[in-house]
Amino acid sequence: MLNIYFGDMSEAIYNTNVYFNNTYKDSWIVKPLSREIILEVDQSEVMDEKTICSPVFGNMSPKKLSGGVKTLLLIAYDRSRIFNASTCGDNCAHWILKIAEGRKVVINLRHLMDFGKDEFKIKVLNTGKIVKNMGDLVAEAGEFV
Amino acid sequence: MRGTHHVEVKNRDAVFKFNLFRNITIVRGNSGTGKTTLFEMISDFTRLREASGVNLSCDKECVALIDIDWKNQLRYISDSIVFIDEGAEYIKTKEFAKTIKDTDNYYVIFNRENLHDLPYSVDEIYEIKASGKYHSFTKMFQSGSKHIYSGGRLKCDTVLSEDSKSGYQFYRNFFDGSGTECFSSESNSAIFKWLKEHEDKKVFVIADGAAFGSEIDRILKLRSIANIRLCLPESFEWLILKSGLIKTENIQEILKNPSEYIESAEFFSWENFFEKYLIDSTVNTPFQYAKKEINPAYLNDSNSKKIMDEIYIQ
Repeated sequence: MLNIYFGDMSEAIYNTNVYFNNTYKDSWIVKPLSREIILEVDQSEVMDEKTICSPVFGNMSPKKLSGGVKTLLLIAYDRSRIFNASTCGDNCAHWILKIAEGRKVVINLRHLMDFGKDEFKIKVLNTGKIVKNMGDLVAEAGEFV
Repeated sequence: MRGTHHVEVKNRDAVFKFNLFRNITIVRGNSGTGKTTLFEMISDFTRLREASGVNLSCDKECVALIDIDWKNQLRYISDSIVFIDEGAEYIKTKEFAKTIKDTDNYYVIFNRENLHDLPYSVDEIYEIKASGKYHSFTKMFQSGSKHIYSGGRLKCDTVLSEDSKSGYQFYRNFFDGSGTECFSSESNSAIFKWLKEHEDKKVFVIADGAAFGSEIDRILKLRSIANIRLCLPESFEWLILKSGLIKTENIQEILKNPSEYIESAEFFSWENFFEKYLIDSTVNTPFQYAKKEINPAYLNDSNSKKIMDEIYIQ
């Protein structure tokens, strides 16, 4: 299940861009989930561990991926840290829910990400309450952002 | 700095073209739209100028805030457009707000957080739209007529004003006897909580759009948004000036193009400018304006209707 702490969180990695560039593993890039995320969010294709083909930049390093994709990959593969997911746009929201299917994922949000109109299950760590739709999420977490 | 400034940034891969109208511009939106690319191009230009290969065109200096010691870097930047990336955690601090308040720069901030200490306008929050290699800024929040951002057709039974002094006194008087209750939230950040606690009411919210940028996102996402008419004129003083009650030599020109008249070093937010302008323009006149108590001259039927006409359909 997805667990979110809203607002300032000192132990969270705030600048996920820098953290990703200095810590990511080549093996992450070619995993099926990564390929799907990179294709949908950045409209780019994974060629191999070190090469992404972007419609804007041509062949590029994974370090040139968008901030949102970098954060998604960190949430998916680096379980040692909590990451600031406010570096992700709303087009990353359903990927965060997907990553949290079947395991506990904790992220930090400093804004109200739009998780869409469908029902979901998110625990707001600030209050301990579990919410199931955006209306309830905004009511529960809005005061912390 | 004052005025509207056009910026064009190009390299072999991407072209960005956009205009800046006020001291604070926020850029957010989906991932993968080019925010980091734009910031990196400005950063390269800041470090290496033309030798970076980035082509930058603007009538003002454009600078990326890349120094860890941001306060020190800002000390040497004046009359410039300063770009700040989303990894900069310090932008949420009161220290940052206090520091940039006294500068004459414009700031372009890439960030999705609600920056409650910065008075940015609902009209200066953008996302980047791309068509091939060409990128431009698009407003994230668009108003309909009468400065309404949500609920234009809603019949309201309650008015909620951000203002607790003259603005609130004016609205309370205007709606007196109409069966519409009038409340003050006393600040823009308290509006969210008030609305959350009164979901059953149909509320006409009137707040200063000039500094409501940090609030609009969470208000529009409330589950009771169908019961809210969100009205965001620049400010209450701007409404009075727009009504035509106050005649000055250049008021029409100022209202038509505020950017050209509002010096960012002097006024952190446009609402501060309009308040000072109204006070200064009405000294020793029948319409003498004071923030803490509304002058009765504004409250008679004819004048109050002129003021409300900009935001309200009778």
